[in-house]
Amino acid sequence: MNAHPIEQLSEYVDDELSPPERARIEAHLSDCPSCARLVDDLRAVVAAARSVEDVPPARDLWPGIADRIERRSGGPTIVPIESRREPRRFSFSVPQLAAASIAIALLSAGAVWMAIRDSGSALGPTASAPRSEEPITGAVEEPISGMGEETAPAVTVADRRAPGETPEYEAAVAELERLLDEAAIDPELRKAIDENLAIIDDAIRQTRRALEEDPDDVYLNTHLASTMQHKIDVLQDAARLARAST
Amino acid sequence: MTTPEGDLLDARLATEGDTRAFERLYRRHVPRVHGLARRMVGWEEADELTQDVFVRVWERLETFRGDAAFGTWIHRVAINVMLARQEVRKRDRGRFEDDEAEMDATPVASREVESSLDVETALRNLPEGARRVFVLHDMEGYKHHEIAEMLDITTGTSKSQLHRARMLIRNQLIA
Repeated sequence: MNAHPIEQLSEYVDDELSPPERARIEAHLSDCPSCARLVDDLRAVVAAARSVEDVPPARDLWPGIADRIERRSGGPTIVPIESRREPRRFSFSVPQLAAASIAIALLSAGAVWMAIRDSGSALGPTASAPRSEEPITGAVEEPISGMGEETAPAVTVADRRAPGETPEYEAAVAELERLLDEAAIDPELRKAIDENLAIIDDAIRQTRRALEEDPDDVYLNTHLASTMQHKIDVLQDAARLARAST
Repeated sequence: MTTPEGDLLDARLATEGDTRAFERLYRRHVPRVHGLARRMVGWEEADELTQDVFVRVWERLETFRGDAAFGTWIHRVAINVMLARQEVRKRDRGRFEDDEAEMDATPVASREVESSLDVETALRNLPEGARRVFVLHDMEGYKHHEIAEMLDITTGTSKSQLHRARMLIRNQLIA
Protein backbone atom coordinates (compact mmCIF):
# COMPACT_ATOMS: atom_id res chain seq x y z
CA MET A 1 0.00 0.00 0.00
CA ASN A 2 1.23 3.49 -0.87
CA ALA A 3 1.71 6.20 1.78
CA HIS A 4 -1.55 7.58 3.09
CA PRO A 5 -2.56 10.56 0.91
CA ILE A 6 -4.11 12.40 3.84
CA GLU A 7 -3.24 15.88 2.59
CA GLN A 8 -5.23 15.30 -0.57
CA LEU A 9 -8.35 13.90 0.99
CA SER A 10 -10.10 17.25 1.37
CA GLU A 11 -9.53 17.97 -2.29
CA TYR A 12 -10.89 14.51 -3.02
CA VAL A 13 -13.98 15.25 -0.94
CA ASP A 14 -14.43 18.53 -2.79
CA ASP A 15 -13.93 16.84 -6.17
CA GLU A 16 -11.06 19.13 -7.02
CA LEU A 17 -8.51 16.54 -8.09
CA SER A 18 -7.54 15.77 -11.65
CA PRO A 19 -8.89 12.48 -13.03
CA PRO A 20 -5.53 10.66 -12.63
CA GLU A 21 -5.13 11.90 -9.06
CA ARG A 22 -8.68 10.98 -8.25
CA ALA A 23 -8.20 7.49 -9.64
CA ARG A 24 -5.07 7.08 -7.56
CA ILE A 25 -6.83 8.15 -4.37
CA GLU A 26 -9.78 5.89 -5.05
CA ALA A 27 -7.47 2.96 -5.59
CA HIS A 28 -5.86 3.71 -2.24
CA LEU A 29 -9.19 4.06 -0.46
CA SER A 30 -10.35 0.69 -1.68
CA ASP A 31 -7.43 -0.90 0.19
CA CYS A 32 -7.17 1.43 3.21
CA PRO A 33 -10.06 1.40 5.71
CA SER A 34 -8.51 4.13 7.87
CA CYS A 35 -8.31 6.60 4.98
CA ALA A 36 -11.78 5.62 3.82
CA ARG A 37 -13.05 6.33 7.34
CA LEU A 38 -11.25 9.67 7.32
CA VAL A 39 -12.97 10.59 4.07
CA ASP A 40 -16.31 9.83 5.68
CA ASP A 41 -15.35 11.99 8.66
CA LEU A 42 -14.34 14.90 6.45
CA ARG A 43 -17.63 14.67 4.60
CA ALA A 44 -19.43 14.72 7.92
CA VAL A 45 -17.55 17.87 8.95
CA VAL A 46 -18.48 19.59 5.70
CA ALA A 47 -22.11 18.58 6.10
CA ALA A 48 -22.13 19.84 9.69
CA ALA A 49 -20.65 23.17 8.62
CA ARG A 50 -23.28 23.62 5.93
CA SER A 51 -26.09 22.78 8.34
CA VAL A 52 -25.30 25.63 10.73
CA GLU A 53 -28.21 28.03 10.67
CA ASP A 54 -28.08 31.77 11.04
CA VAL A 55 -29.82 33.18 14.06
CA PRO A 56 -30.32 36.80 15.09
CA PRO A 57 -28.14 38.21 17.85
CA ALA A 58 -29.36 37.74 21.40
CA ARG A 59 -29.91 41.47 21.81
CA ASP A 60 -31.19 44.10 19.42
CA LEU A 61 -28.17 45.83 17.91
CA TRP A 62 -30.18 48.38 15.95
CA PRO A 63 -30.28 51.16 18.60
CA GLY A 64 -26.49 51.28 18.69
CA ILE A 65 -26.29 51.33 14.92
CA ALA A 66 -28.93 54.05 14.68
CA ASP A 67 -27.05 56.18 17.21
CA ARG A 68 -23.82 55.91 15.27
CA ILE A 69 -25.51 56.65 11.99
CA GLU A 70 -27.23 59.65 13.45
CA ARG A 71 -23.97 60.97 14.87
CA ARG A 72 -22.35 60.59 11.48
CA SER A 73 -25.25 62.29 9.76
CA GLY A 74 -25.37 65.00 12.40
CA GLY A 75 -29.10 65.31 12.03
CA PRO A 76 -32.46 63.83 12.87
CA THR A 77 -33.45 60.27 12.13
CA ILE A 78 -35.34 61.25 9.03
CA VAL A 79 -33.43 63.91 7.19
CA PRO A 80 -34.25 65.86 4.09
CA ILE A 81 -33.10 64.19 0.95
CA GLU A 82 -31.34 67.29 -0.22
CA SER A 83 -29.21 67.57 2.90
CA ARG A 84 -27.60 64.17 2.74
CA ARG A 85 -26.43 63.27 -0.70
CA GLU A 86 -26.63 64.41 -4.23
CA PRO A 87 -29.35 62.77 -6.30
CA ARG A 88 -27.85 60.02 -8.39
CA ARG A 89 -27.93 56.47 -9.56
CA PHE A 90 -31.64 55.87 -9.93
CA SER A 91 -32.69 53.69 -12.78
CA PHE A 92 -36.06 55.21 -13.52
CA SER A 93 -36.83 55.25 -17.15
CA VAL A 94 -39.59 57.82 -16.71
CA PRO A 95 -39.50 61.46 -17.69
CA GLN A 96 -38.21 63.16 -14.61
CA LEU A 97 -40.59 66.07 -14.70
CA ALA A 98 -43.55 63.73 -14.74
CA ALA A 99 -42.12 61.89 -11.78
CA ALA A 100 -41.66 65.12 -9.91
CA SER A 101 -45.24 66.17 -10.47
CA ILE A 102 -46.52 62.81 -9.33
CA ALA A 103 -44.31 62.95 -6.28
CA ILE A 104 -45.72 66.30 -5.27
CA ALA A 105 -49.24 65.03 -5.73
CA LEU A 106 -48.52 61.93 -3.67
CA LEU A 107 -47.01 63.92 -0.88
CA SER A 108 -49.98 66.23 -0.91
CA ALA A 109 -52.37 63.33 -0.56
CA GLY A 110 -50.22 61.97 2.26
CA ALA A 111 -50.47 65.29 4.00
CA VAL A 112 -54.23 65.12 3.59
CA TRP A 113 -54.29 61.76 5.32
CA MET A 114 -52.21 63.09 8.17
CA ALA A 115 -54.49 66.07 8.48
CA ILE A 116 -57.54 63.84 8.48
CA ARG A 117 -56.07 61.61 11.12
CA ASP A 118 -54.86 64.46 13.26
CA SER A 119 -58.35 65.93 13.16
CA GLY A 120 -59.39 63.01 15.33
CA SER A 121 -62.14 61.84 13.02
CA ALA A 122 -60.60 58.96 11.25
CA LEU A 123 -59.79 55.94 13.30
CA GLY A 124 -61.93 55.99 16.35
CA PRO A 125 -60.13 54.11 19.11
CA THR A 126 -56.97 53.88 17.04
CA ALA A 127 -56.71 57.56 16.26
CA SER A 128 -54.80 58.26 19.42
CA ALA A 129 -52.14 55.68 18.72
CA PRO A 130 -48.69 57.24 18.76
CA ARG A 131 -47.17 57.95 15.41
CA SER A 132 -44.15 55.86 14.74
CA GLU A 133 -42.27 58.57 12.89
CA GLU A 134 -42.30 62.27 12.34
CA PRO A 135 -43.76 63.39 9.03
CA ILE A 136 -41.29 63.22 6.24
CA THR A 137 -39.41 66.44 5.97
CA GLY A 138 -40.31 68.37 2.92
CA ALA A 139 -43.83 67.02 2.64
CA VAL A 140 -46.20 69.47 1.06
CA GLU A 141 -48.37 71.03 3.71
CA GLU A 142 -51.26 72.21 1.58
CA PRO A 143 -53.74 69.52 0.55
CA ILE A 144 -54.44 69.10 -3.10
CA SER A 145 -57.60 70.49 -4.53
CA GLY A 146 -60.65 68.53 -3.55
CA MET A 147 -58.89 66.61 -0.85
CA GLY A 148 -58.72 69.19 1.89
CA GLU A 149 -60.13 68.91 5.36
CA GLU A 150 -62.98 71.15 4.45
CA THR A 151 -64.24 68.61 1.95
CA ALA A 152 -63.97 65.58 4.19
CA PRO A 153 -67.35 64.47 5.43
CA ALA A 154 -67.96 64.28 9.14
CA VAL A 155 -67.28 60.77 10.37
CA THR A 156 -68.54 59.02 13.41
CA VAL A 157 -67.76 55.63 14.80
CA ALA A 158 -71.01 54.38 13.34
CA ASP A 159 -69.71 55.21 9.89
CA ARG A 160 -66.94 52.70 10.09
CA ARG A 161 -67.38 49.77 7.76
CA ALA A 162 -64.62 47.77 9.39
CA PRO A 163 -62.34 48.36 12.35
CA GLY A 164 -60.18 51.36 11.57
CA GLU A 165 -61.77 51.82 8.18
CA THR A 166 -63.22 55.21 7.39
CA PRO A 167 -64.30 56.86 4.19
CA GLU A 168 -61.56 59.42 4.63
CA TYR A 169 -58.83 56.90 5.04
CA GLU A 170 -60.05 54.78 2.17
CA ALA A 171 -60.40 57.86 0.00
CA ALA A 172 -56.91 59.03 0.86
CA VAL A 173 -55.41 55.62 0.10
CA ALA A 174 -57.41 55.32 -3.08
CA GLU A 175 -56.20 58.72 -4.18
CA LEU A 176 -52.61 57.83 -3.41
CA GLU A 177 -52.92 54.56 -5.27
CA ARG A 178 -54.58 56.25 -8.20
CA LEU A 179 -51.78 58.75 -8.43
CA LEU A 180 -49.24 55.97 -8.14
CA ASP A 181 -50.97 54.09 -10.95
CA GLU A 182 -50.71 57.13 -13.12
CA ALA A 183 -47.02 57.57 -12.42
CA ALA A 184 -44.73 56.05 -15.02
CA ILE A 185 -42.51 54.49 -12.40
CA ASP A 186 -39.79 52.02 -13.22
CA PRO A 187 -41.53 48.60 -13.47
CA GLU A 188 -39.08 46.92 -11.13
CA LEU A 189 -39.61 49.55 -8.49
CA ARG A 190 -43.36 49.47 -8.96
CA LYS A 191 -43.31 45.71 -8.47
CA ALA A 192 -41.48 46.15 -5.17
CA ILE A 193 -43.95 48.79 -4.04
CA ASP A 194 -46.91 46.57 -4.95
CA GLU A 195 -45.45 43.63 -3.06
CA ASN A 196 -44.92 45.77 -0.01
CA LEU A 197 -48.45 47.12 -0.18
CA ALA A 198 -49.85 43.61 -0.59
CA ILE A 199 -48.09 42.49 2.58
CA ILE A 200 -49.43 45.50 4.46
CA ASP A 201 -52.95 44.97 3.14
CA ASP A 202 -52.80 41.36 4.26
CA ALA A 203 -51.74 42.48 7.74
CA ILE A 204 -54.58 44.99 7.84
CA ARG A 205 -57.10 42.34 6.81
CA GLN A 206 -55.86 39.93 9.45
CA THR A 207 -55.96 42.56 12.16
CA ARG A 208 -59.45 43.61 11.19
CA ARG A 209 -60.63 40.02 11.35
CA ALA A 210 -59.13 39.72 14.82
CA LEU A 211 -60.82 42.94 15.87
CA GLU A 212 -64.18 41.59 14.79
CA GLU A 213 -63.73 39.04 17.54
CA ASP A 214 -62.40 41.48 20.09
CA PRO A 215 -63.16 45.08 19.07
CA ASP A 216 -61.82 46.62 22.28
CA ASP A 217 -58.41 44.96 22.24
CA VAL A 218 -55.95 47.81 22.75
CA TYR A 219 -53.03 46.02 21.12
CA LEU A 220 -54.99 45.11 18.01
CA ASN A 221 -56.32 48.63 17.64
CA THR A 222 -52.88 50.11 18.06
CA HIS A 223 -51.42 47.59 15.65
CA LEU A 224 -54.09 48.38 13.08
CA ALA A 225 -53.39 52.09 13.33
CA SER A 226 -49.67 51.47 13.01
CA THR A 227 -50.12 49.23 9.99
CA MET A 228 -52.44 51.67 8.28
CA GLN A 229 -49.94 54.43 8.94
CA HIS A 230 -47.23 52.19 7.47
CA LYS A 231 -49.22 51.91 4.27
CA ILE A 232 -49.24 55.67 4.01
CA ASP A 233 -45.52 55.67 4.77
CA VAL A 234 -44.82 53.28 1.93
CA LEU A 235 -46.78 55.41 -0.50
CA GLN A 236 -44.92 58.47 0.71
CA ASP A 237 -41.63 56.63 0.35
CA ALA A 238 -42.53 55.93 -3.24
CA ALA A 239 -43.14 59.60 -3.70
CA ARG A 240 -39.80 60.45 -2.16
CA LEU A 241 -38.08 58.09 -4.57
CA ALA A 242 -39.81 59.65 -7.51
CA ARG A 243 -38.84 63.07 -6.28
CA ALA A 244 -35.27 62.01 -5.67
CA SER A 245 -34.97 60.86 -9.25
CA THR A 246 -35.51 64.34 -10.52
CA MET B 1 -40.74 42.35 2.47
CA THR B 2 -38.04 39.74 2.08
CA THR B 3 -37.62 39.71 -1.66
CA PRO B 4 -34.62 41.09 -3.56
CA GLU B 5 -37.00 43.72 -4.90
CA GLY B 6 -37.73 44.75 -1.33
CA ASP B 7 -34.03 45.03 -0.65
CA LEU B 8 -33.55 47.10 -3.75
CA LEU B 9 -36.33 49.48 -2.81
CA ASP B 10 -35.08 49.87 0.73
CA ALA B 11 -31.49 50.28 -0.41
CA ARG B 12 -32.55 53.12 -2.66
CA LEU B 13 -34.46 54.77 0.15
CA ALA B 14 -31.63 54.29 2.60
CA THR B 15 -29.18 55.77 0.16
CA GLU B 16 -31.19 58.94 0.32
CA GLY B 17 -31.03 58.99 4.10
CA ASP B 18 -34.12 57.02 5.09
CA THR B 19 -33.10 55.24 8.27
CA ARG B 20 -36.43 53.40 8.49
CA ALA B 21 -35.61 51.70 5.22
CA PHE B 22 -32.12 50.95 6.48
CA GLU B 23 -33.53 49.43 9.64
CA ARG B 24 -35.64 47.12 7.49
CA LEU B 25 -32.49 46.06 5.67
CA TYR B 26 -30.81 45.51 9.02
CA ARG B 27 -33.65 43.32 10.28
CA ARG B 28 -33.58 41.18 7.18
CA HIS B 29 -29.83 40.67 7.02
CA VAL B 30 -28.60 40.77 10.59
CA PRO B 31 -28.92 37.01 11.19
CA ARG B 32 -26.50 36.21 8.42
CA VAL B 33 -24.08 39.02 9.23
CA HIS B 34 -24.07 38.18 12.90
CA GLY B 35 -23.60 34.51 12.12
CA LEU B 36 -20.62 35.33 9.97
CA ALA B 37 -19.18 37.52 12.73
CA ARG B 38 -19.61 34.79 15.33
CA ARG B 39 -17.75 32.34 13.15
CA MET B 40 -14.99 34.71 12.19
CA VAL B 41 -14.26 36.34 15.54
CA GLY B 42 -16.32 34.51 18.15
CA TRP B 43 -19.34 35.38 20.25
CA GLU B 44 -17.53 37.90 22.42
CA GLU B 45 -16.88 40.36 19.63
CA ALA B 46 -19.70 39.45 17.27
CA ASP B 47 -22.15 42.10 18.43
CA GLU B 48 -19.70 44.96 18.13
CA LEU B 49 -18.44 43.73 14.80
CA THR B 50 -21.95 43.37 13.46
CA GLN B 51 -22.67 46.97 14.37
CA ASP B 52 -19.45 48.03 12.68
CA VAL B 53 -20.54 46.19 9.56
CA PHE B 54 -23.91 47.90 9.35
CA VAL B 55 -22.43 51.33 9.97
CA ARG B 56 -19.98 50.59 7.17
CA VAL B 57 -22.81 49.43 4.93
CA TRP B 58 -24.61 52.70 5.62
CA GLU B 59 -21.52 54.62 4.65
CA ARG B 60 -21.01 52.54 1.52
CA LEU B 61 -24.59 52.41 0.26
CA GLU B 62 -23.72 54.77 -2.55
CA THR B 63 -21.48 52.10 -4.05
CA PHE B 64 -24.28 49.53 -4.23
CA ARG B 65 -25.18 49.45 -7.88
CA GLY B 66 -27.81 46.76 -7.78
CA ASP B 67 -25.79 44.53 -10.09
CA ALA B 68 -25.77 41.78 -7.48
CA ALA B 69 -28.34 40.93 -4.85
CA PHE B 70 -28.16 43.22 -1.86
CA GLY B 71 -27.60 40.20 0.37
CA THR B 72 -24.54 39.25 -1.63
CA TRP B 73 -23.22 42.78 -1.52
CA ILE B 74 -23.70 43.26 2.21
CA HIS B 75 -22.08 39.90 2.84
CA ARG B 76 -19.00 40.97 0.96
CA VAL B 77 -18.87 44.26 2.84
CA ALA B 78 -19.15 42.31 6.07
CA ILE B 79 -16.26 40.05 5.16
CA ASN B 80 -14.10 43.03 4.25
CA VAL B 81 -14.85 44.72 7.58
CA MET B 82 -14.10 41.55 9.49
CA LEU B 83 -10.88 40.83 7.68
CA ALA B 84 -9.74 44.41 8.15
CA ARG B 85 -10.47 44.14 11.85
CA GLN B 86 -8.45 40.96 12.09
CA GLU B 87 -5.55 42.52 10.26
CA VAL B 88 -5.51 45.46 12.64
CA ARG B 89 -5.57 43.14 15.62
CA LYS B 90 -2.80 41.09 14.13
CA ARG B 91 -0.65 44.17 13.67
CA ASP B 92 -1.43 45.26 17.19
CA ARG B 93 -0.23 41.94 18.44
CA GLY B 94 2.92 42.38 16.43
CA ARG B 95 2.93 39.03 14.81
CA PHE B 96 2.27 37.49 11.47
CA GLU B 97 0.28 34.69 10.00
CA ASP B 98 -0.20 32.03 12.61
CA ASP B 99 -0.24 28.77 11.72
CA GLU B 100 2.25 26.14 12.64
CA ALA B 101 2.79 27.33 16.18
CA GLU B 102 -0.90 27.85 16.82
CA MET B 103 -1.74 24.56 15.20
CA ASP B 104 0.60 22.76 17.51
CA ALA B 105 -0.74 24.66 20.48
CA THR B 106 -4.38 24.09 19.61
CA PRO B 107 -5.97 21.99 22.28
CA VAL B 108 -7.62 18.93 20.87
CA ALA B 109 -9.54 17.29 23.60
CA SER B 110 -10.42 13.66 23.70
CA ARG B 111 -13.15 12.54 21.37
CA GLU B 112 -15.31 11.37 24.21
CA VAL B 113 -15.36 14.81 25.80
CA GLU B 114 -15.72 16.88 22.65
CA SER B 115 -18.17 14.84 20.64
CA SER B 116 -21.09 17.02 21.66
CA LEU B 117 -19.52 20.27 20.53
CA ASP B 118 -21.10 21.96 17.60
CA VAL B 119 -19.22 23.40 14.70
CA GLU B 120 -19.29 26.99 15.94
CA THR B 121 -17.82 25.97 19.24
CA ALA B 122 -15.18 23.88 17.54
CA LEU B 123 -14.22 26.88 15.45
CA ARG B 124 -13.00 28.64 18.57
CA ASN B 125 -10.16 26.21 18.86
CA LEU B 126 -8.89 26.77 15.34
CA PRO B 127 -5.98 29.03 14.52
CA GLU B 128 -7.10 32.19 12.82
CA GLY B 129 -5.88 31.37 9.32
CA ALA B 130 -7.48 27.94 9.23
CA ARG B 131 -10.70 29.26 10.76
CA ARG B 132 -11.06 32.02 8.21
CA VAL B 133 -10.61 29.67 5.27
CA PHE B 134 -12.95 27.08 6.76
CA VAL B 135 -15.67 29.67 7.41
CA LEU B 136 -15.36 31.19 3.97
CA HIS B 137 -15.21 27.88 2.10
CA ASP B 138 -17.32 25.40 3.99
CA MET B 139 -19.79 27.75 5.65
CA GLU B 140 -20.06 30.70 3.30
CA GLY B 141 -19.54 28.91 0.01
CA TYR B 142 -16.62 30.81 -1.47
CA LYS B 143 -14.20 29.13 -3.86
CA HIS B 144 -10.51 28.80 -3.19
CA HIS B 145 -9.55 31.37 -5.80
CA GLU B 146 -11.98 33.87 -4.23
CA ILE B 147 -10.63 33.18 -0.77
CA ALA B 148 -7.08 33.54 -2.02
CA GLU B 149 -7.94 36.97 -3.37
CA MET B 150 -9.68 38.05 -0.17
CA LEU B 151 -6.93 36.88 2.14
CA ASP B 152 -4.03 37.64 -0.16
CA ILE B 153 -2.79 34.07 -0.11
CA THR B 154 -2.32 31.43 -2.79
CA THR B 155 -5.00 28.92 -3.69
CA GLY B 156 -2.62 26.21 -2.51
CA THR B 157 -2.43 27.83 0.92
CA SER B 158 -6.20 28.12 0.99
CA LYS B 159 -6.58 24.41 0.25
CA SER B 160 -3.99 23.51 2.82
CA GLN B 161 -5.62 25.66 5.50
CA LEU B 162 -9.00 24.17 4.73
CA HIS B 163 -7.74 20.65 5.15
CA ARG B 164 -6.09 21.56 8.44
CA ALA B 165 -9.27 23.16 9.71
CA ARG B 166 -11.37 20.17 8.76
CA MET B 167 -8.99 17.78 10.45
CA LEU B 168 -8.99 19.84 13.65
CA ILE B 169 -12.77 20.09 13.70
CA ARG B 170 -13.05 16.41 12.95
CA ASN B 171 -10.90 15.67 15.94
CA GLN B 172 -13.25 17.66 18.12
CA LEU B 173 -16.60 16.68 16.72
CA ILE B 174 -16.38 13.07 15.72
CA ALA B 175 -16.01 10.54 18.43
